[in-house]
Amino acid sequence: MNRRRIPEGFPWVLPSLLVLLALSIYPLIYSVKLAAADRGNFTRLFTDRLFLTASIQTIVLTIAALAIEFFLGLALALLVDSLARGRMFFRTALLIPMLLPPVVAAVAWRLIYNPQFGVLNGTLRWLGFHTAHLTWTSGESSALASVILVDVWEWTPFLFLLLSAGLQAIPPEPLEAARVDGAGAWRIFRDVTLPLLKPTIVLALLLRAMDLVRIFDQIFILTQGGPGTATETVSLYIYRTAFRFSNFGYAAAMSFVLLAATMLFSRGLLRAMRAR
Amino acid sequence: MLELTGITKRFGAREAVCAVSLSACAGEFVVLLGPSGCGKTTLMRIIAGLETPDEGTIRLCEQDITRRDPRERDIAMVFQSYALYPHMTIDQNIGYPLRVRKRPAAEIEAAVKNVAARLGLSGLLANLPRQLSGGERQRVALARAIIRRPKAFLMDEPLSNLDARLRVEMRAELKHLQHELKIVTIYVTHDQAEAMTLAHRIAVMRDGKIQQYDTPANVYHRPVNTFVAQFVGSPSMNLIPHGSVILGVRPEDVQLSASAQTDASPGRIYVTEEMGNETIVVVRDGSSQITARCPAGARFEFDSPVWYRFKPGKVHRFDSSGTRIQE
Repeated sequence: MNRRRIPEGFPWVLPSLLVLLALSIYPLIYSVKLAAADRGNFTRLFTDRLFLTASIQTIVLTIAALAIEFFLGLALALLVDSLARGRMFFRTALLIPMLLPPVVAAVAWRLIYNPQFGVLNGTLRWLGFHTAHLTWTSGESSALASVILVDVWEWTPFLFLLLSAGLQAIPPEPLEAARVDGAGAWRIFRDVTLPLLKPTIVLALLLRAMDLVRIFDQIFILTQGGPGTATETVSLYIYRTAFRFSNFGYAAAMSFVLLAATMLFSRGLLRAMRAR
Repeated sequence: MLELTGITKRFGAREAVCAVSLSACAGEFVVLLGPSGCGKTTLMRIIAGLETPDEGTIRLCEQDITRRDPRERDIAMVFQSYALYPHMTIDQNIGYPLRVRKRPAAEIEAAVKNVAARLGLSGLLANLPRQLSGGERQRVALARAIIRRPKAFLMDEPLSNLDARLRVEMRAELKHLQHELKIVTIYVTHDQAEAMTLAHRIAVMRDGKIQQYDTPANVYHRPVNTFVAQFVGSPSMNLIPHGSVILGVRPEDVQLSASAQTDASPGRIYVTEEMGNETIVVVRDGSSQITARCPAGARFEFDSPVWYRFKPGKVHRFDSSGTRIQE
């Protein structure tokens, strides 16, 4: 037989290959086609004030939520790691927010935030605070912070879990060596724990940052991007462009920009952490 | 100098160290010797301050340090796994104890250079620990310990991860270094050869208790019980039940001959092991097995008849519980 042989396993991977082609590869190519169909899609990005606002809000939300979740998660991980007993209990208990479906969590928080009937303002009133001005997600200035708070509540456990596992993986000997060498708790943390935890920290920040940049479901349920555009992130704006205004080409162009931005951000983060 | 009194440490219901008292003079090299799980490492960690004893006191240079934090004890430790800081270069590793003490940079640099030169690490200072061989890492761990001239050294099986040749080499270096520094050293090992060669005094431990604390010569020639007798010396001492007592004879005190002798007992050759400089011969007599150390070149066939006798005055006697019977 002279003709090129088809690899023996080919028929067996064919079904999954077809599914992949139909659901991933084809849409990808199609979206490139959509975006590229009109060159105006990309030039428009630079003059679109809504896109600019959404981008800034995405960046603010990502950095703020990431910073808070990281420091909170690290503090919790260190705290639980230092416990003599009850580690398993706290580790499991702290994971509960993360185990809820995001949609459920968001709906619950919408109820909590409700200025008139929500449990948050209710509790504050009970404690004697005036709550008339506390509008949370419906306030122009407090909406983004409220969204960040929900994300912190839901995803701090994720950072806690990763950092906790990272702390567990640090061998005890260098820490003990540092104690004998004369280092106090803070120096041990700064000189030994933190550097040895760095790979875990990079991974955790990276995973969380990529999620935050394309955040959608929580905001969609909590505020729909409102009030006005106060909490509109890039992914919400893309959604609105595609499915409200049916401008699929422009939406596709924006999603490619978002993809590129995410990749650049990740590379930047990796490089910054490696250089240190 | 270093004085432990009634040190007891429990992990749950298990007593890892029970009522251990031990003292070391200034500049003394003390080896804690025992099988794994005998509590020797726990005892060392208690001295370092990495574990707190349930009972007892530790005094170092006339000061009670029992409750002090490790960093306030001025003790340096070499870990079995070396415990180098993997993210620091070798010079950062060695200089760390001084940096923690906020000594001037110039002083640290000079001290690191000095110690590195002494231990043959000068060319490796810019490397990371993972780029070094086992023996080099071991020397870095030593360098980190000696750089600040502590009041005492603790060494937890520092040579056990090295290959046999390097271990013997480092053993000699270590002994010389300790002699030069004249700093009291507590050294943990399960290797009786290391204990014999390094120690001024050996503390043989078993089940958290010190069995015998004496000079290597006394531990070897006057073991207090059958455990010490068997643990120290290679090949081990022969223990032969004899009525209500147990006779103990070192292999070098067993004499073999191929022909019948009046005061010798008959047996059969079980196996011979040629070591080059000597030959180890195992003889079977009924159910008991006797090991003899013979000069190089001794030749015996498998299963051939042989007569053995013990050198007069070299037989140790132990009672049925294993305790030495004093003559």
